[in-house]
Amino acid sequence: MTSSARQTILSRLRERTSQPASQPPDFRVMNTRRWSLEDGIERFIAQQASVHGDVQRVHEPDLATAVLSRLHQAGAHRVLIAPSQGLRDALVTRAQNIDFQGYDQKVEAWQSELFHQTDAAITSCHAGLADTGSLVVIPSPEEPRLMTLAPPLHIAILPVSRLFSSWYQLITEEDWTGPMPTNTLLISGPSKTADIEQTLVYGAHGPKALTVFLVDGI
Amino acid sequence: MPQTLQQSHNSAINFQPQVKSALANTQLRGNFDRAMTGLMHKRTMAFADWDLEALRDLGQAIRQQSLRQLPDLLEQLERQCQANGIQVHWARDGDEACQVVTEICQQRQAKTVIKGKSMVTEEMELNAHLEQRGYTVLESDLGEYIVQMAKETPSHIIMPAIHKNTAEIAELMHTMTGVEQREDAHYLTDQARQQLREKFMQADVGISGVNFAVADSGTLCLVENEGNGRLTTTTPPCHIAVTGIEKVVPSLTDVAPLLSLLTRSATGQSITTYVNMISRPRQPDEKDGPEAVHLVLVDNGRSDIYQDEELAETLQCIRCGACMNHCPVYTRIGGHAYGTTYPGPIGQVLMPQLLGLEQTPDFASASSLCGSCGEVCPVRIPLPSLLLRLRREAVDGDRTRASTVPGHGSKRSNLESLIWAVWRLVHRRPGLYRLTTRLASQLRALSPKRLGGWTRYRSAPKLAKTTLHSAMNNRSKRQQP
Repeated sequence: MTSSARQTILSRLRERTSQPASQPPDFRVMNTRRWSLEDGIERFIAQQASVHGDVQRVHEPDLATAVLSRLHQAGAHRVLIAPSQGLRDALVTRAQNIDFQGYDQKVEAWQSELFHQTDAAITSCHAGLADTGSLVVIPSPEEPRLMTLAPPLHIAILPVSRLFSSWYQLITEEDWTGPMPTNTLLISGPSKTADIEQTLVYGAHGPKALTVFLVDGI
Repeated sequence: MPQTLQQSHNSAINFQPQVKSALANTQLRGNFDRAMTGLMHKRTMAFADWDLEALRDLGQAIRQQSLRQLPDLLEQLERQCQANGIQVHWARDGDEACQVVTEICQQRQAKTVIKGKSMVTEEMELNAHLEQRGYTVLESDLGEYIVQMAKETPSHIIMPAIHKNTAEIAELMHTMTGVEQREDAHYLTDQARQQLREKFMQADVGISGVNFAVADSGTLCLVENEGNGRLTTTTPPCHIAVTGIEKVVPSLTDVAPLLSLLTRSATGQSITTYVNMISRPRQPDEKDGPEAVHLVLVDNGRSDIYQDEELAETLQCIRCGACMNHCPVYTRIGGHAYGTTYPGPIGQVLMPQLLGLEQTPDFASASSLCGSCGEVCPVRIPLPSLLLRLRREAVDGDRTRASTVPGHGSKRSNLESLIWAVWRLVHRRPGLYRLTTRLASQLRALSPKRLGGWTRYRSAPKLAKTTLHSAMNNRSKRQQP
C-alpha cells in the first residue's frame, strides 16, 4: 500500500509543469541578531528570566559551592549527574547528605524511580543562545534525554565561552548540515502551559524550575 | 454550542446556524475576545526589535523554495530518515494514514497510545479510528487533554481549549477525573501533570506531529512548551510522527528563521520552551528514547492543491494561527462555528480545497476582506486574494473545466447568471443603457423595500429621480453662456 501511495504522491507532485517564480532566500536579516559578549550575557540572562529561568554567573572555582547551595535550597536528596561531569567529585565530597547518581542503566529498569524519586539533574550544555535565552542540549549516553525532562529541577552548566548570539549563528558557524545526533534540544526555561484560560503556569510536564550556571574560566 | 466529535467530520455546511449560536453565546465571545486581543498585542511586542518585513520575505522565500522542490525534498527526506533508521510511510489520504498507524500499532501489539498535539491527526480523525479498533488513545497536550475529556474538537490550532474558561475546565476535570473543583489554573495543571505522568510510562506508542521535517539530515523538529511532546517522543518504545507532505524544508538553516516567525506569530514568544529535533531511534549505547521511529507522510489533498500555482501558496502555511488571532470574524464566532479541522482565514482557504466548495459554501464569503490575515501571515500567504479566487471558483460557469478545487461552480445560480447577462447587454449598448436607466428612475417607486438579508440591518437602495447622465447634461446646459 505504502509503496504505491509513494508512487502516486510523487508522480502527482511532478505533474505540475509550471514553477512559480520566487525570490531566493536572503538570510541577511538573521545576521543582524548579533551581540558583543557582555551584551549577549545580559540578553541571555534577561531572556531566561522572562521565561522563569534563573541564571547565575559564577567563576569556575565557586561553581561547586553555588550548585550545592541551589540543591540545598531545592531540598534535593537524589540528584542525577554524569560520572564524567567535572563537577561531580567536588559535589560528592562536599555533600554527604545528597545522593549523586549517574543515569547508568536503561530507562526501562528504573523508569518509576526516575520519574518519582529524582529531585534534580545536572547536565552540561552544547551552547547557549543570547537572542532567545536558550540552552542547546545534545543528550548522550551519559546524559540521556529524560535527564532534562523527568526531574523537577534541571541545573545546566554553561561555560561563558559557549555563548552564541543566536541559533542561526551557531548553525552556520558549526555547519549543522547533514547527519545530526539522535536528539538535539533547544531549552528555554522550565516547561510551561497557558492552556487554561491563558494563565501561565510553570511545571507542565517537564521540569518546574531551571537554573543555569554561566561559568567564567572553563 | 461546541461541537462533539460525532459532528466534527464536516459541519461547515451548517456554518450559518453555527455562527448564529456562537454569536449569541456571550461567554464564548468573551473568552475569544480576551484571548485574541492579548495574542495580537504579544505578537506585536515580540517582533518589536526585528526587521519584520525582511524576516517575512525570508520566511516566504524559504517556504516557496521548499515547495518548488517538494518531490525531490520528500525523496531526500525519505532517504536520509531511512539511513538514520527511521521508517518512512506514505499515505494518499487520511484513511490510508490511519491504516498505516493502525498496522504499526498492531505489529507492536500495542494497547495504549499517547499523543502530542498534531493537527494533521485531527484532520484524518485518527483518535476515532484507533478507538474504534480498541486502542486507548490519550491526548497529552493540556489543551487537547481538556478538549478530549469534553468530547469536543480544538477551537484553535495552537490553543485547543481557548473557548473554555477556568470555571468550565475545573468542573470538567472534577467530573471526569475526580479532582477537587478548584478554579485555579495552577492546581488543575498540576493535577493533569500527575495524571499524565503515569500514562506516559504505560503507553506502548507515542504519536506526534511535526513542525518542520529537514531533508538533508532526516530530522523531525517539534516545537512545544509543556514537555508533553518530548515525553511522547521519548518515553514509549515506539514513536510515530505524522506530517503533511508540505512540511519539509531543505536544511536546519531554513528552520532557524521559520522558527523565529512561528513562535512569535503564534503566541508572541521569542521561542518555545522546547525545540525537539529527532533524527534517529535509540542507538545501542543510549539509555532512553524509542527503539522504533516511524514517519508517516500524508498527502490528503495536498498534491492536488500543489497543481495550481496560485492556490499552492496555501501550502506555505506553518500553522502559527496568527491569521485567526487577527481575524475579526474568527474573534467573534470562535473556532467551532467553522465546523472544520482548521478554522479562521487559513481554514477558509484550505478546507474548501480539501473538502470541496459545495461542502463549505460560506467559507470564501465569510470575510470582510479587511486584509489583516494577509498582513500578519509570517510567510506572506495572500489569504485575501485566495479567498477572492475561491469566490470566483465557486461561481465558475464551466463546471467541466479542470480545476484543482473540488466543487467549483457549485454556487452558480441561474438567476444570478441571468442578471449579469442582462447587465452586460445593457452596458454595451449606450442607447439601451439610457433607455433602461430613464425607465428605471421613472419606475423607482416600484423598487422593492425588502431585499432579504441586506435590508435586515440596512434600508434598501433606491434609484435617484434623475440619472447621472441627465443631471450632467442639465448642468452643462446651464453653464453654457
